[in-house]
Amino acid sequence: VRGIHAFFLILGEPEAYGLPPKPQIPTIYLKSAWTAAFATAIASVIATLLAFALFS
Amino acid sequence: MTTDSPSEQRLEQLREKAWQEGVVPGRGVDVAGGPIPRKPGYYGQPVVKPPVWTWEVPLYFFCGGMAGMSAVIASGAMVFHYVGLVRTAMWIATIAGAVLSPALLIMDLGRPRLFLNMLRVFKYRSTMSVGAWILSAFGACAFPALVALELHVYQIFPGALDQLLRILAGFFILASAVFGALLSTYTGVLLGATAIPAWFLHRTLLPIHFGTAGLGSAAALLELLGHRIAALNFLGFYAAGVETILLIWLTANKHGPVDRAIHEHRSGWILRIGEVLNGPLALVLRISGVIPFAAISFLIGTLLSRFGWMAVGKVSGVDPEAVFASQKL
Repeated sequence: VRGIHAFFLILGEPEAYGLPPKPQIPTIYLKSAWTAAFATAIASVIATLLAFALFS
Repeated sequence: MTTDSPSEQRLEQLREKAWQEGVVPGRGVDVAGGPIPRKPGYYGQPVVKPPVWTWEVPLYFFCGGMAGMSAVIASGAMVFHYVGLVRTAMWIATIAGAVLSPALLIMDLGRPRLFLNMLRVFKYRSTMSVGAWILSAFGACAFPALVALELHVYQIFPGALDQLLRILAGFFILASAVFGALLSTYTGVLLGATAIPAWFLHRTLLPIHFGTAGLGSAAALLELLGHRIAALNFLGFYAAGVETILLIWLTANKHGPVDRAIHEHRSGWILRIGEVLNGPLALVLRISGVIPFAAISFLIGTLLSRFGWMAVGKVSGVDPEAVFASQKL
């Protein structure tokens, strides 16, 4: 399992045991999600400043 | 031996063929109602656990998002000297962000002391821990900012002390804007970096949606409270426009079983009605000039879409096919 360095040995398809076929720790996606979050935060600040700058 | 039923006959044929050729290609016998699962998965049992969050959490997403972006608007208004707007925005930020949001989180946790446990460590890999810290820091900035601002506006103290209060208010408003911008976007990360297929598929869309919806709802509430200025109208246009683009993206970019909870189920209807209300409908109403209705539509839409995303997560989490399909992307 990518991220926690765990290892499972199973005969056959992992799906048949109710296990995910490509297990991974969801926190490996933190980076892309936080990038979007920071981009949104900065975009919102810029939009606010722009709004007041243009219409005041 | 009974050879009257078709499956028994087929079995006989297979035996014959196996005896003659040693190997049997093709389909075997399907036993009707047999224990062999046709779908992948363990008899339709969920693979990952669905979220256990109740109504407090989506409501917190709504309040927190609005409060955070309210502080951003307050600092923008402060830079351009709209004192009345700064005051209203900081009142919203403090009530929604420093009172309601922690109260909702504590109601979700069950006991107030558990919130202190959340602050015992700072774990950057856990979005929930980061979020608890962001919310606390936001509250710790927004509340003194409001107090200092009100003391300054009413000129309670004379001379130098008043100047000090003015500087303090400015500093705390800017700080609460920084934490506020994070407060309204981190919730998207919180949902995105999970094992729930429909959420983690949209991990970049969710923070954009949550942050922009927070900005739009803060602007909408300020407009409803009487601050009908062009700058807030512009922010309303911006938020509704971004939400419309996100709705188009969400609708065009389907991924079959992975995010079918968004497109098919009842939960998907809540989500889509919410997104239509705060996206296209708010935009059209704003273009038509009926700004109060646009603001109301945006607020209701944002609230609905928060509950919609939560419902989608619950449906998507118990859907084993969605989990398997999400891993094969």
